[in-house]
Amino acid sequence: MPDEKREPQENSPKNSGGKPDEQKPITTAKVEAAVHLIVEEAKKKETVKAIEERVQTSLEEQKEFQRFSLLFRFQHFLLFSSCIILIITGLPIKFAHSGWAEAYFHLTGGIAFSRLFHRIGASVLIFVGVFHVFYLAFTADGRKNFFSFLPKIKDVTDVFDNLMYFFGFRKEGARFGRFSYLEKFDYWAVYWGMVVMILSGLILWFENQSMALLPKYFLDMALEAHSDEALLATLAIIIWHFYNVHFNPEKFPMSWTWYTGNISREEILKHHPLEYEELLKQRKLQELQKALEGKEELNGNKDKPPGKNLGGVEEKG
Amino acid sequence: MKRFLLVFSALFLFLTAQVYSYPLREKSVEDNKICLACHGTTDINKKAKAAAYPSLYVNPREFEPSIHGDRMCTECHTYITDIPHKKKAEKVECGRCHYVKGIVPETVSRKSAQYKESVHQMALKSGNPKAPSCQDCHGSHDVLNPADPKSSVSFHNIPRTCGKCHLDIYSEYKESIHGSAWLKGNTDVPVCTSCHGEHNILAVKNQQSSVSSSKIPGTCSKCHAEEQIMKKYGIEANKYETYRESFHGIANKYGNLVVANCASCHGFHDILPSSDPRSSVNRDNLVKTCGKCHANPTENVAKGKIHVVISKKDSTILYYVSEGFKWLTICTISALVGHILLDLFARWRKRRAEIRAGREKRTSGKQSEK
Repeated sequence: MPDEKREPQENSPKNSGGKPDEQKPITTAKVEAAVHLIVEEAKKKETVKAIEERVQTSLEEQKEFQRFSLLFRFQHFLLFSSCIILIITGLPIKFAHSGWAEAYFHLTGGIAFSRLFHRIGASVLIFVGVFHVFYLAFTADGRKNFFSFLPKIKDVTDVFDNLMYFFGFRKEGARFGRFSYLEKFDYWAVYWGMVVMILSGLILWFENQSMALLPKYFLDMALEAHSDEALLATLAIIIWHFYNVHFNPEKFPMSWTWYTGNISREEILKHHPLEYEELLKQRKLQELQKALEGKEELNGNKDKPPGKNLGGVEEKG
Repeated sequence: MKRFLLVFSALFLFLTAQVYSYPLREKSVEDNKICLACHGTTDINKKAKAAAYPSLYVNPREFEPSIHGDRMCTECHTYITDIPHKKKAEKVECGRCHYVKGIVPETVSRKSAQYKESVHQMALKSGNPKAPSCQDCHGSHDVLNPADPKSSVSFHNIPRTCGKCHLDIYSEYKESIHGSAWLKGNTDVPVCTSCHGEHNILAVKNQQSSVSSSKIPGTCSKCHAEEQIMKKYGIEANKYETYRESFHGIANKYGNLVVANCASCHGFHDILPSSDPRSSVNRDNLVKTCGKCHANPTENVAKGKIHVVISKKDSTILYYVSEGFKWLTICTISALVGHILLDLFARWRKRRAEIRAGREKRTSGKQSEK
């Protein structure tokens, strides 16, 4: 039904032009009808324009935009809490004979503390890993984010564009959508890291069960991978992620998006302009659709206060 | 008359005492001859038997060349002050001299102090009559310098001396790689005291003991991490290092008492090389050995090295895993750091341009004002 209804609006110029039939004699009634239709269409066009403008102004007035849903932030919270625990309790084991590790073990009273808390952290990490897969598959939010996270050819050209900007060959850097290649890297690095860490970690955690199936050298490989990937992940977090969300001059000392889920208008325009444009387009469509569904709205409810019911999912009250 | 009798009897008593009692007051080794007049003949043991004493015989040929050969009998048997002496024998306290610095060098007096803490002394104190005191190991009248091969506590004799009580262990030790080499006269191998200590022997469960689960890697590594010693026998000196780097080694270092240490797998008194089919670390016995701790062990435990060295030759797959991660880390982190630096550079350039533009605007504004 909505499709049928949308037709006159989208094809309005064609419709109004093509309606009079040249084959048949033109009656006044027909002319009247045609004129009526033209007037109607012009009115509709006017309304569409008005709605679009209304959406645009309302979006322009919006100061904060939701970037991460509560579910998304919940996962991030579990992820970083477990990672902090895992890094603190794990790295001293990797560098067991260094002075600082000795101090750490002295402080915590031996390895028993680390073994316990590393496994508590691991349980949380495994939970959030599994939870995330379900989130991607079974929530609209998850699916939307997953498709935004998928690498595209644009990411490669974005890297190139940004490098050109960094070296001063261009005035502007790449324009990003919902997730820039920097964020995509962060996401997929964690994805890969989770797979490596959880698999190797489980092999080592349940060493007797895994040894029943796998040769000893496979466990050695798991240990090596666990230890090396741990260092890589830690460095990536401390250098890359911390730069992007903490030490970057724009963000210092911290971006609060992980907590509030929102980013400011300046940020979305600067860092995710394509997402903003997409958002604008989507809202216009949404509003028009809404207007079409409720006919009376289309027929000139122009002085409706702007903003209040705009935005749907993305709206931040 | 009364006074006369009193003086006379006093004089008589004094004189008879002079005749029958020999005061042992002159500090001279010559005095020993007086003791040995009785104790130097085997006949005295007949009398001892009658009185249910252990041997009272002192062999002068043992005593005179002993390290105390120039000491007087009464220096140790201090309770003998007169002859004939009391029949009740008292135990000789070596500590009378050996606890005291100044009389003996500090290195010696320290040993006696260590003995006070040892498991042997504890057992003795708690009433075990079989627990050894000084004489049981060092001998009594025949004490020799431990450096003397004939000493009961010399390198060549210590396993036999300990074996007097610890007979089972002695027979196990004789069969082991260390013991069999010791029997052949090898002086690199450890004897009892090399691992357990001497005067400071502590119970294995005491975590201060050199053979406790937490200390044993350090104890074995005294020799097994020594390139010079290990080279002679074709053993790799990196075994300690590889253990230390393993999870077993790390957990052991930081207070896990049940994790495998050297002895858990290799055994202790019965250590044999892995090539020996009787050895607990022989490939065919690994399932059983690992199974002491690990539930449901399979043949898989023997597939791969235990003392892992990551090298192309030793562990090819592991080497490539390690190298792969190494280069992945180097490349990723350099790319990330590079990107950050470029980003900062671009920011700095932009900021500088802004400042410059602002300054120009100001100056041009001033000019137009003029």
